[in-house]
Amino acid sequence: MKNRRHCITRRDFTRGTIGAALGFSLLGTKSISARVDVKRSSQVFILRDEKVMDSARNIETTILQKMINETLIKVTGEKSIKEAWQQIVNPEDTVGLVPTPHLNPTHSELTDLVKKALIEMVGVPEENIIIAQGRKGPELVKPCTALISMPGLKAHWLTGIGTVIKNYIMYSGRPRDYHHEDSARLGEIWLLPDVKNKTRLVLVDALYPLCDKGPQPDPRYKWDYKGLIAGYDPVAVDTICLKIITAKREAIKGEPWPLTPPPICLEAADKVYGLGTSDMAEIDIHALGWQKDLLLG
Amino acid sequence: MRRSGIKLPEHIGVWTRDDSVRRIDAGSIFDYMNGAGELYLGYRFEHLEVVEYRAENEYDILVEIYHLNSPDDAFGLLSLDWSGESIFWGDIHENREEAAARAYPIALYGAGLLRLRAGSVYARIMAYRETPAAKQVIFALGEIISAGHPLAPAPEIIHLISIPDASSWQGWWQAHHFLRSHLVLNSLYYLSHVNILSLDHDVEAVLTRFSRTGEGEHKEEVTAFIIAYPSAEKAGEGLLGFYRHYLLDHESETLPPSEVDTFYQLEEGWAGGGRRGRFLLLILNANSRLGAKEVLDLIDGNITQGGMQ
Repeated sequence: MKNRRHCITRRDFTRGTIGAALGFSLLGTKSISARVDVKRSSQVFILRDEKVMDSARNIETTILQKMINETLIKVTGEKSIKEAWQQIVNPEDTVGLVPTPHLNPTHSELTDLVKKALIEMVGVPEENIIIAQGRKGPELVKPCTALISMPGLKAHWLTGIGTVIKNYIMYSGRPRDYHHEDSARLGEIWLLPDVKNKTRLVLVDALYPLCDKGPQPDPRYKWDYKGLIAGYDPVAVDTICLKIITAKREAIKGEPWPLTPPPICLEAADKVYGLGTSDMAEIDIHALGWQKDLLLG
Repeated sequence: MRRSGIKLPEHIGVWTRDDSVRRIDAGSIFDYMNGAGELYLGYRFEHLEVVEYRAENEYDILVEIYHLNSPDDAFGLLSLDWSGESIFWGDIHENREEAAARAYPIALYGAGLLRLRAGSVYARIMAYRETPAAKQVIFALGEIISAGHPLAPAPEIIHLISIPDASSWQGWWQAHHFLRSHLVLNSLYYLSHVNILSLDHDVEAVLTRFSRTGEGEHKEEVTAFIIAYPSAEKAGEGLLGFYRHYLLDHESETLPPSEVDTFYQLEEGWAGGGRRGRFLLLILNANSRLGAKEVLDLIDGNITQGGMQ
């Protein structure tokens, strides 16, 4: 009885002992000694432009292009957009773009513009750029030497937040396992041999996010944020995404409206799998462009 | 491609539907909606029909008709989120006020999405962009889907949370959630990623909150979760799971669980409960032991009065 596996409960979350509980619960994982080589800058960049979508939510691609360029230059610290992209990938890379396919899909305009930049700025052959998402995820990710994670900003009914860390769920080849008891373990997917250390950039589509968990889209909970959120640290970027979603939910209800289930996978990604930081005190937020309703207060 | 079991018009307003109906079953639901499929599988899902309406110069309208095992399952899906504009139509259309007073909504609308229950059918009708014309068509389609289905009462277990007139406790129907799955429970009230209460398709459960205003306008709240298992033995297993996993630090003093109601002060308030035959009554987040006991007694009284034990 005493050696029975401790399962994570609401009480662990309330007590703030998720980290300890996770360490106990996930004993046996090899992850702690298999941390990803993340560039732990823990800088997260948010760039917004009020005019990136018109009143019918059609994307103004010229403005979106400018947003991407400015974001990349800020994230990389390079002087030109060409140098910025060249810091991210090499011409020899096989690049997997990883958009969100369901619930709040990544805008195809964003994916197209990134693909175009990789071809024109870096010289990656078009055939070496693939959409590495979906049921064939494990096959698609295998030949990739670089991944650019491009999820849509959204909450999720099984994991609380469903943006960055959850974006690679299909690479597991057994996504349903992570709907149940293993949902806290989503971070381990980032450590799979075909995935580990391949992520060069996290670029979140926060143009029209979804702040309720679904499980299917409900337009009442979508809003015009008109932003991109980017960084190297997937956990830090997801943490900022969570902050924005949480603030929006409170704004809608006029009182605290916490996500349920709580986003335990995020803390686990930090404390168990070492993918980055979920500690707001360790994250430098750079909010550029349109500042109204930034939701980071 | 099969045709829909519910006959939808080919043309409605300026919209025309696809000739074919996409049929999704339990084996293909994850291909259609990824993890969202767990929600419907948790409600005894049989199959789904998907129809799209298209029109020039208008956004598409998506119609999803979920066929479930019982009206209770359809009620449960609607009960996940009672917010939105409440809709009453069909056979109670002429006495809307009375219907609103005595029944739960048949449908809910907001921002271009109509959700409805009709017999054992749950449907979502969504315009990709809300316009007056689209809203009109959405409502018309909703009435068509609902037609022929008698108004289904709320699941029987919901009666266990009714509050006697003389009680100081209050409840509100927007806080009533019917479910059978621990994943659904977690999406409403996170308990544990592990199915510690052994919920499955054979159980019926209702989650709700009670409140009352006490001295000095102090508001007291209690969360109650009542589960009807198929047998007393199964209810006992559920109670054991709750004690073993949720009351881990009280394990030595509580195992085996007593038939006497026991409450413990935890991080968010008093919690505990007990078993009544095949029913498991759990009280969570109560401000006081007394409040926890009162609400449990209230539910207990409903079980006894209803002869449900």
